[in-house]
Amino acid sequence: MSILEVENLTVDIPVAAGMLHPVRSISFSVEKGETLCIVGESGCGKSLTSLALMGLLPKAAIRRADKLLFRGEEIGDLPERKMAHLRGGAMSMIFQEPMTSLNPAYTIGDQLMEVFRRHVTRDKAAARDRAIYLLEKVGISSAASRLGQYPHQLSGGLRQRVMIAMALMCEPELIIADEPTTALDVTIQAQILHLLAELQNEFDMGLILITHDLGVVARIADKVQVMYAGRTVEEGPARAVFDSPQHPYTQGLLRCIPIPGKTKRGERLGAVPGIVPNLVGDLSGCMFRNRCPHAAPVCATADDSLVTGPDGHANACIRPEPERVAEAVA
Amino acid sequence: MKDKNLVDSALETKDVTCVFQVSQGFMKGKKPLAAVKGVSLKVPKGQVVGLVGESGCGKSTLASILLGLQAPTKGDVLYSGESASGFNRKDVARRIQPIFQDPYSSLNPTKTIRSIVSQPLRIHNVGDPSEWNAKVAEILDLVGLPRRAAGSYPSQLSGGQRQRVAIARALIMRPEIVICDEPTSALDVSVQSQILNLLQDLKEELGLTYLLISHNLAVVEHLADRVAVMYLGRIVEEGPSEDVFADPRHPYTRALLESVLTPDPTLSVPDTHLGAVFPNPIDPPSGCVFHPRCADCIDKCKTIAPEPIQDGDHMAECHLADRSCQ
Amino acid sequence: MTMISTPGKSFDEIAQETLEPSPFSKLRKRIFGNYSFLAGLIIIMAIFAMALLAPLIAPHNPYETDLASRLMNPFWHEVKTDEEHPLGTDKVGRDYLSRLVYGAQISLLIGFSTMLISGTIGTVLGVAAGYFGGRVDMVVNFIINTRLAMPVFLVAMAAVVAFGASLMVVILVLGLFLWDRFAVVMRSITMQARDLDYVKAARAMGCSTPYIIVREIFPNVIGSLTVVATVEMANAILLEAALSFLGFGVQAPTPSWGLMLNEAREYMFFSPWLLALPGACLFLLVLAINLFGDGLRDVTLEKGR
Repeated sequence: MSILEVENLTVDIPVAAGMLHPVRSISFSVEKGETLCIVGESGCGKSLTSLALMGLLPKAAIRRADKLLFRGEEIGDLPERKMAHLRGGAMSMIFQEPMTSLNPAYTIGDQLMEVFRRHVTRDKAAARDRAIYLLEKVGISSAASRLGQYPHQLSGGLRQRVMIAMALMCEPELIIADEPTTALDVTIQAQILHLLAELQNEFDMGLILITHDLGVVARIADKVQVMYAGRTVEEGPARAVFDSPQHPYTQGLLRCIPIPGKTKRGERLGAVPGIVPNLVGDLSGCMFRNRCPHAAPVCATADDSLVTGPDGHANACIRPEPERVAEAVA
Repeated sequence: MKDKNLVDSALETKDVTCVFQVSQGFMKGKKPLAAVKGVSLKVPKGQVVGLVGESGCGKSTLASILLGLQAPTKGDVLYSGESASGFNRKDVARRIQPIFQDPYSSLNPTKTIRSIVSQPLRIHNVGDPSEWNAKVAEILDLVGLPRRAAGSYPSQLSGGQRQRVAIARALIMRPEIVICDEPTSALDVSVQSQILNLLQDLKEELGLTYLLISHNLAVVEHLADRVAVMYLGRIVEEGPSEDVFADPRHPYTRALLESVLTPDPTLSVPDTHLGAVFPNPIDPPSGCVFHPRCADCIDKCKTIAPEPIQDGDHMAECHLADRSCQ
Repeated sequence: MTMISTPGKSFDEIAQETLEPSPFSKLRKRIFGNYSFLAGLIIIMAIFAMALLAPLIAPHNPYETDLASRLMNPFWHEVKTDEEHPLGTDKVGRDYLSRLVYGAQISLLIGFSTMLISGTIGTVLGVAAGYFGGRVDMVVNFIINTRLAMPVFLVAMAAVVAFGASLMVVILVLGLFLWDRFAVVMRSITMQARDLDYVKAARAMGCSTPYIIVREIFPNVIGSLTVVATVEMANAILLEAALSFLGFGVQAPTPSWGLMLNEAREYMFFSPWLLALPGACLFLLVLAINLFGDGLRDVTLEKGR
């Protein structure tokens, strides 16, 4: 049974100009011990997706889903009180900026123990033991003395470690991490991701990692979901997506980054010209068509649902690969 | 290999040190913080030198010094061999210009693109207003922006377009050197490559020299001819890109390179063995400042600060880099 | 020369799609969508026009006494009314409408000049502290704290006693005392603006410090400056009224709304309109200024970026 199963999740936000559709009918599932990476550029709806899962969307936003199953139970219609109990308990979240997600007025010990005491047991000693155990787990030395420190006394990397420890306090079954390393230096990014992967293995948790960094995705993901303009354009096992990207957007993205050893020094990089379309009002066809080198008239109207291949590798391109290749040859 | 002394340096620092007095809190007095400690760096004409290091390593301070925004406590900066000590702000500005990371805060929101791009011409009294419009149009063509954009405001443009405006502003006076401070890290992946391509085209076209400050080592490796690695205010390794990336001599450089996450799904996240604690720059470690985080640390490292070890064109500041005594 | 490989579309076409409406057309939209801003603006304009055109509007000379027609009732009363004096007369027979119209001059004069004086002092101190930081900031902070420790009202009364009561003294005293909010707000905004990259870029371009402060920083703080200015203007008008009411402000027979309130005290029960009319004028003006200021903040300071 999947930890999380999402079917046709849609988020709509009413704005002055009409209805904004930042997330449209996306589906995915995460198993125990599996890492799903949702990757995309700014404005693709990846962060709203994570907020929608946690029930943390802005008030005006409207969430709809055919299925939103957590441990096999529907959570789409849970009252806020029950949802709050899930958050930070069985399902926890790690945010991008650890400075703003830790409360500067309390010591990290207080904040770690507070989560545990709210969700698991009021026992103070047990909470303290758990906090020290996890701080050591996330690589913070002399954990007992760190409990009395305030967030501003820690560096960015240490704060993010504390955030991870906090997310783990109640033995969650699912962690949603939204750009957890974007604000950090490369060396620290590698350390934090290494730690996250290790802990996930040890505790057999499901992990949803949301990022724009293809390098991170390639190294950590089991499954990849590429989002563009609120839609999933490609999904599948990480190996398959990186080795043979099928959607023109994924292909374009992978050509944009210099890969040491593969791209020659000083060689021109590929580009995806143009910008993300406006997502207000009625939308139809493939959203990538205005930037796509293979766009044809049919792309404006046809259905852009995912078509799954034999190995679970799916893509939403309206024009099948052979047709595109034939065109390129001609 | 070319003899490095034969290539003219567009920019050179000689033993530059910059010390700040940092307040320790109420009634606690001040302590010196050496953000940059005795940095000597050469940027050869027409080349790209990458400067890498963690945040807080002093690379931003060094950039401020090179731009003439911050006076060094000690040492000298030379532009094409001329010492900056006799220069005023405008002399420096004519030779070197910056491109910043965040294209949202680097453009004044109350001004039109025309006014932003032509500002250097007005400040330096170049030509008369009738020529300015022509020059603005020319530079907008050069950076790939439509001429119509001149009349719009920064808030009307996308991130990539704003970064093009920032590049146009930096180049309109045709400086010799451009300091690119994380020029693409605030941009989306698909836009990044366009800006990198543009920077490269402009370099060829105008014969520019770049100092590329970036934490993205893949980008540095892609563009830079030479690389300098900074740690706690010192340049700990410097050399031609091929050498440094193929054969890093300093353990910190090795850790940095290991941390680069190339999009290769067959590999997993590396373990860099660096430790979680970043040293306090006000109270740096004894001996080699890197020793508390170094996996290869030997006794000597804890007490004696290493001297730069030069091997041809490749310098490293590590006791273990001296291959002759191994 | 083509710089960017753009299959299918030229960069120009793409740029056209991205070009948002200009900030000014957006501003216009926000202005006409903000009713409190518009209401405040219209009332202020009306009162301003009234003050400016007072000699034309006012039916009588506001200083002309006519003991024969003392305490005439306004037009809505049944008895003791006079066509000549639609809003009646006061205890020495001066036309109340004319005095109210001329009173607007005093209130606006006080409001504007106080705001100009205090705004200049506060902005200079605040911008200097914010931009230069360090010692300058310390000194300015000390001056702000010293000023905050002084009770404006008591000092103003003492000054009036010492220098004699006149319009000039009231303006100067209020002007020299109401700058603290300007300084505090300008200081913090300048501090934020100073660290922005476009200021750094201007410095790297070789711009002089005065140029940077005036041309780069000032245009970006002007929105907040006007908001503070409206608050302080309303404050100054109320303080003048209060001082005049207590007899420490503008002196009789000048037609000041505060002074009129004072003079009307004795007749509060038999001729309440004497009290109500200048009170209502003050209320309306201050309300309008505050509505205007609030609206201005919403209109100029865009949410987010």
